[in-house]
Amino acid sequence: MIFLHPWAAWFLAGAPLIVLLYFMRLKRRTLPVSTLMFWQRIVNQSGRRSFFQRLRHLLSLLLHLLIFALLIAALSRPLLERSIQNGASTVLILDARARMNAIEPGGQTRFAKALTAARGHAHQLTGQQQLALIILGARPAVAVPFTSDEKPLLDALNSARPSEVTGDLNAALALADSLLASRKGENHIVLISDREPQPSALRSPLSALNIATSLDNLAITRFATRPLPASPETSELLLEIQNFGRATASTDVELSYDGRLLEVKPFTLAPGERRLEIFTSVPRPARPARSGRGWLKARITAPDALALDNVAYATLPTSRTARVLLVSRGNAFLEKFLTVDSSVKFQLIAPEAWQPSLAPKFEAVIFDNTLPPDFNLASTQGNFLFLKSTPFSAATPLEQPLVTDVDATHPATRNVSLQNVTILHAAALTLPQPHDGWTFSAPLRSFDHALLIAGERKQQRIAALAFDVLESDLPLRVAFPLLMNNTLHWLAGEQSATQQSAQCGETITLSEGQRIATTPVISESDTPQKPDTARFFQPVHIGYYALGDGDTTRWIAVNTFNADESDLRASGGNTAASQPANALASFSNWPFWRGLAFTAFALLVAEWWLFHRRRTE
Amino acid sequence: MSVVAAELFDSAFLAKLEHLHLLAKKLFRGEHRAERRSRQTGSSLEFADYREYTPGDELRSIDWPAYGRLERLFVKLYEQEQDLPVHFLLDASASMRWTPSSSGIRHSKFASASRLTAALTYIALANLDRVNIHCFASDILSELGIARGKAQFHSVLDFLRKAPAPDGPTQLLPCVRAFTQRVKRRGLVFVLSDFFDPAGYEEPLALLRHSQFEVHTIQILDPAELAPTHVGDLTLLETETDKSLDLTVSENLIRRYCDEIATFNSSLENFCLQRAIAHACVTTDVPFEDIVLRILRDGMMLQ
Repeated sequence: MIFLHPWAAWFLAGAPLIVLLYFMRLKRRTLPVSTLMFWQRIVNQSGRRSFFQRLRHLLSLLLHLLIFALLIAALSRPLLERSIQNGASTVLILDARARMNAIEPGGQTRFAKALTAARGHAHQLTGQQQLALIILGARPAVAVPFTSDEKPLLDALNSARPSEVTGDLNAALALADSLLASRKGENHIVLISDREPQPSALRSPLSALNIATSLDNLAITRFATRPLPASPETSELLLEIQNFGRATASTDVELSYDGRLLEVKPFTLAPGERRLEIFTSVPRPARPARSGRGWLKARITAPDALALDNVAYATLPTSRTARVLLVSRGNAFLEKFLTVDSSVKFQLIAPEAWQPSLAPKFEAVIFDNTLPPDFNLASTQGNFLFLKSTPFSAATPLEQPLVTDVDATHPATRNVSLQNVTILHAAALTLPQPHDGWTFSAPLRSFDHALLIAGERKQQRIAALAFDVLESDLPLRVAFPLLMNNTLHWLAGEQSATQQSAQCGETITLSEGQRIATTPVISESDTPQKPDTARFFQPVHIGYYALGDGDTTRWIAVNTFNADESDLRASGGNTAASQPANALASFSNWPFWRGLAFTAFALLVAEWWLFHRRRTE
Repeated sequence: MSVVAAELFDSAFLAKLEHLHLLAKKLFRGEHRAERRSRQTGSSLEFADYREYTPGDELRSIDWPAYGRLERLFVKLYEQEQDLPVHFLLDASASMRWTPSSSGIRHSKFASASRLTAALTYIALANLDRVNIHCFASDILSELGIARGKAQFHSVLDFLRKAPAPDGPTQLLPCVRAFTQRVKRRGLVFVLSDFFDPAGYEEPLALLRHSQFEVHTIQILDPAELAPTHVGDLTLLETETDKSLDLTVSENLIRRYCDEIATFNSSLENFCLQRAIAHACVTTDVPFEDIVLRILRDGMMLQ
């Protein structure tokens, strides 16, 4: 047996004080009596009784000293060696999810209260108790492995910050359970959170410390933009707001664009009501600039418990100017289209002026009814659009082919309606088999023949249209500029749907060459961080993240948008006061020191009873 | 004794006392003619006995009807009514003067004994008996002297008022021995005491009876002696001897004390009963009139 608090032995020096106080207590009152005859007879009658009388005096003193000794022994925390060898392990899970940012009625955030409770547990550590700290953010992470040292725990707690993401509590519990699986002795999981966990099958006992109260909250649960299909230069905006409260709430929602207030709209929502609002005709910025980043921000003006979901961020889609080289002897329709399309900047050369070295300087090269004699698909560099004369042309032409199949999912033919297009002649293109890294598809068909072949390998794309646009009525249709625009931007490398927004905690996969800043900016006056992270990134804070793609920079808006995080009504129930203050795993269900303390208490009660019954005197 | 004068002897109470007589089972020889029967034959109307005529006897005392039947001369004898010697042995020891601290206005046992003595003395004086009072503790401290007639009652009160207050312990035997040696004429003896004599009460009372006294004992106790209430760590200090006893008095111990004193009282009562000694036990909290008019009459001391 060892003692965890050997310093308690110093209290033994107080034993003489107990004896002194005892004898001070024994000062007797003098009472005159008429005769001692009868008292003396009682005393003389039983010499044995007088012996016990003296013994009782001694017994009383011994009881006092025994109680004192038991209390000191309990204070010194004795432990059996077997318990010490096994020890006791506790995993403390600190909830740092978004809703822990909510401000409680006392003015503290839930996270601050959770930190206080966690520090309390850290202070209770003893040499034979080990504590591991898991912080539950987007993913549960072991902040401090098992340790008996209070300092790293307190350092980790001091540096802990609440995240703005939602997370999986069950994953944290499973992680804690797996950490404890190989630990001997008493094991325990302590969860400090704002609500009770769902029952789950854990090997170790779980204590939940609920530090929150039920609160009302208004939240923006969706905020997104998209370009209008009929007018890509204009975007529409979707806003969803929900009342997670027990009373009707009113607020204004401010909508601003690049720091300029666009609109203020009042909302009154019944308890639990969700309102969807669509704003149309938000102009799309021509190109991002420092003074105009295309930032849209929605803000609830009414203050509530959780400020995090009162602001939502979005970005308007931006377009990139594609540099196009037109190799042609003259095509009025095509040249006119390239001239008026503001997203395209083109140069025109004759077929004789073509040099293969020109291809890498442009995002796309259009060969209009001409095919370079030395064109080799396997070794060529650049992106190409062939009109009529293609590397895939067959000898037999198609007369007046009908457009039978249009792949609406392909970026080149998206939103393009080619029904009833009249084509005079077309080449009978055969969809080639994949070779040299190329893969091909036919988003436009006339029965078994491809009218448009789209090929792709790594960073290179190629498209071949089987007919001359001048030999069709396509240039006279709305579909012509759409088809050309889609095809050129697809060749230029634009994705079908550029990622403009992400949810907090969601992993953003970056393409090769893309980099992203790890720190968001939320104000127009903030200086954005230079993008530096490649491949994967998981934002844990809301705001605008700069995404560098080659020479250009665009923005990704990150929001929490999680009803579970915004709904603060489910908190409360068991308050922290009703929970045990010390839930650390102990060495046994009934620690030795408690037994000693209980015995001391029982003896104290017995002594008190005997004193009042005059049995100990 | 101002208490006695002021509270006891109002005219109504004295009128009641004048109707009482001290009871004595034995006949004692008196010194003066009075109202109480005696062993002496004399001139009262109460027939006592016959004896044969001897020359010189008065002729009028011859019982002539008896001579007619028996033809022998007999003289009728009549009882002589004389006074009764009444002695009071009053315990004046320190234990009799003790009063418990919580008794309030209650009188001491000695005060109660003095009042009883005064009342009984008044009854005796009213019946023309001769009264003497002896105050004692470890020895006879003072003696009133023979008093006869109600006129002597004031001297009785003065004596009781000036009774000494010694510190010594109660020692009945030497006092009784001295009393029996000093008093030649036997009579009625009232012993008023708490009988808290460690040497015992048996031998003194037996000595009194052996000396041909008719003994009446009145035991006077304080209620606090019968049932003490103080508990805790106490140093018990005996008033007579200044002896002390350290004791932690518990309720259990008090119960044993009560049993002990009850046994003592019971044995005293049995002792008196077996020896035809009138006995009464009174406590200081009982009203005085109740003691005189009820308890002492029930104890066959008064009629």
